[in-house]
Amino acid sequence: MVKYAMAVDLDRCQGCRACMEACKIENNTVESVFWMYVFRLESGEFPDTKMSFLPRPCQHCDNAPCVKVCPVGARFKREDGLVLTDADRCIGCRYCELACPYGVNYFNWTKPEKRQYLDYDHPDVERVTGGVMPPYKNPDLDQLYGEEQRLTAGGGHFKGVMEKCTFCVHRLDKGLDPACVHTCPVQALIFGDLEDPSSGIAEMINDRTHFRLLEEVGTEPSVLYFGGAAPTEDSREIETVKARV
Amino acid sequence: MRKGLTIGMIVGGIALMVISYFGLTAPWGAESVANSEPRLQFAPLVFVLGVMMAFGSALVYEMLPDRDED
Amino acid sequence: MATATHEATLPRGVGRLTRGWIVFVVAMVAISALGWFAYVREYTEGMTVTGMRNVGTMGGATWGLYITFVVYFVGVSFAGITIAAVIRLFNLQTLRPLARMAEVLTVVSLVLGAIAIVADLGQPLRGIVNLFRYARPQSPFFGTFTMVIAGYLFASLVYLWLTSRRDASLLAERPSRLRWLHRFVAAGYTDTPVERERHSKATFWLAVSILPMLVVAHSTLGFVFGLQVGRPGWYSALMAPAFVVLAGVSGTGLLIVLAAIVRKTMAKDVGLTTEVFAWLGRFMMFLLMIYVYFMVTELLTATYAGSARELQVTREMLWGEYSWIFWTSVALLVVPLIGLGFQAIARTWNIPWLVVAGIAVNLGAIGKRYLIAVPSQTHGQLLPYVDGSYAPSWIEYAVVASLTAFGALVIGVFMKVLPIVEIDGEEEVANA
Repeated sequence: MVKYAMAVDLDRCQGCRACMEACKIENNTVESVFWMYVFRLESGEFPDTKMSFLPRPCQHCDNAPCVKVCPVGARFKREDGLVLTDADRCIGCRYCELACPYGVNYFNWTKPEKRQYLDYDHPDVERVTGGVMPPYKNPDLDQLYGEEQRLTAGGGHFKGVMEKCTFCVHRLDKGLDPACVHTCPVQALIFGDLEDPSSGIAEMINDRTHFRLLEEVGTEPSVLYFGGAAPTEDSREIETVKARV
Repeated sequence: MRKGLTIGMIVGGIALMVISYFGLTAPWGAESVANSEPRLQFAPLVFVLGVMMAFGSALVYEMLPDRDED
Repeated sequence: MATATHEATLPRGVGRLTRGWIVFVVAMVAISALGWFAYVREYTEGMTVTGMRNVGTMGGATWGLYITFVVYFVGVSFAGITIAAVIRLFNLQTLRPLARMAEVLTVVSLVLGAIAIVADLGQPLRGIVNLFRYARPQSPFFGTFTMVIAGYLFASLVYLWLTSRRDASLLAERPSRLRWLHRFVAAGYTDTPVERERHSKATFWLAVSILPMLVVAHSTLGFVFGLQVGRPGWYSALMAPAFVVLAGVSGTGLLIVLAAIVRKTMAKDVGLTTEVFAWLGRFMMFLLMIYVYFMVTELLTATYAGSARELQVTREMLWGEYSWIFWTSVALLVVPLIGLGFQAIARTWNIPWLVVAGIAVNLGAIGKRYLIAVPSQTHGQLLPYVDGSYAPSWIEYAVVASLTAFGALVIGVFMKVLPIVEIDGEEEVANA
């Protein structure tokens, strides 16, 4: 049985946010939506301040509060550890978003076409990309995945439903790592199967100590953080998202 | 006959609620896909109908004319 | 005007369309229409037209005015059916004139609550189908829509119908344009001793079974918030009981207002004496005392032992961005409580003052509902996101106003169709 997990090596992360870009291109998320987000944090008093970075994908919890509160079972936990959203079933009540202590859920407030960073249909853009790259919508996102055969990869490129990080379920299906892991230039993100002792992530667990975010709320996340330290009450963001819907 | 039907509706309504809640809707838990699928589609509707049946028994009790009384 | 004279013989102003009533109906229809216009925009363009946004990086609140009013409307329904059931169970004859309007208030506010939930959904049509198709009992919403919307509303409708049959049969004896409706509602009721006996038995057992269900229903709504450990300010065992009590406060307040309006508009005395209002005032005072006690214990727990995040939400509420709402709401609840206390001690009850208190506690209750929903989203992040903000857009205000107007409209129409105050046993219909 596969049990997917992501390791984040905070000693390596340099806060370049390349993972965020990779995610946006792979999953075609719209303006102001960040399935993968990297906190750039500062703590302490000047001049004794410290900077740190904290990548925050969906934690794919084993005891996921969002799954428990979903009134229609659109948010569900797969046996391989993924927490996914069925865009065909979601009714848009946004309860999962409030149950989640990590703030990883994004609602589609309007038609996603309206909020792309680039208007891919525009002739000027078309001339540069040749209509090839990046496609307006990754065709893989429209497929059904897993034994359950549900519309999960697209997140919610539909008005009025929820979306969030899928661990790139469409890439896992092809045996690839998630886009953020694939892109990370310093290999701060490692993806693998916890049940497989030869996987990189299983070896990391044996060799080093790790922590998980907000263990006190009992969500049992599948994202493990190595090195560094969890954000404290003192941590504050130095660079926040300006984009708004 | 009227009383029998009333009691039958109350018992039947409660039975529908219990059966659909524990047996037909999605089981509690957040471990697998099965927790998100109702064991019978429209099981919550059965629950709601159970609630309505139990309370609707009052209508039967009060409004159904007795044919076989005295 | 031949029909008008005919209908003038119906009691309680039924079928008599005064000019004031027509103006009222036109105004309410206009406000409701504005809300429909706003909602059509929301439906076609998406919820981006509301003031709500995602929590976290987007810095907003994802539940706003709609959920505030869902909770408020469902809350109002509490007092209605409780008071109607209490009157039935304890046979409080002096309060009998209140029973019908309390039941109507319950039914109307539950319908409004259901509509407000649908207005809050991103996929409203899919929501209506999928809830019945896939709903999971583990979600606190399960109770909200099965127990509150379906069960509670259905039970209240049954109760309202059964208690209206006798009046309808009396009205059906007179010729009027509404006779067909009165005959239908009466459903063959002829007021024989056997039927009376049966009716009193049926409504007694309905009242007995509605009361516990009501506590369950209002608690499930509290659980929607109270079970969420990931949101500071929500995770509290007191959430459900406090919901029930504040529901009672706002519902009783609104019932006082409604009773005062009915008393004013009825041509003759219908038994809504000062004594009735005194009872309502005492009931509301009692519930307010419990609520203020809950509020103090909750604040003490949050500030004394609260974790840093918990403290931040409380601080924001007491002294920060939400302080004006918080202190206004507290004043709107505490000042009426003090006023009611004085009246209770002096044993003199002033109806205009009670109406003011009733309106005040309702505004206070709306404020408190808002403060439950919003600050925990904008300032209750456990990860170091920057604080968010939320301000409702005109669309949300319009939809909420239109719902309120629609509720008033339904009550107004009901008053002209069936007696809003029960007809006494001895009262002769023809003399009315």
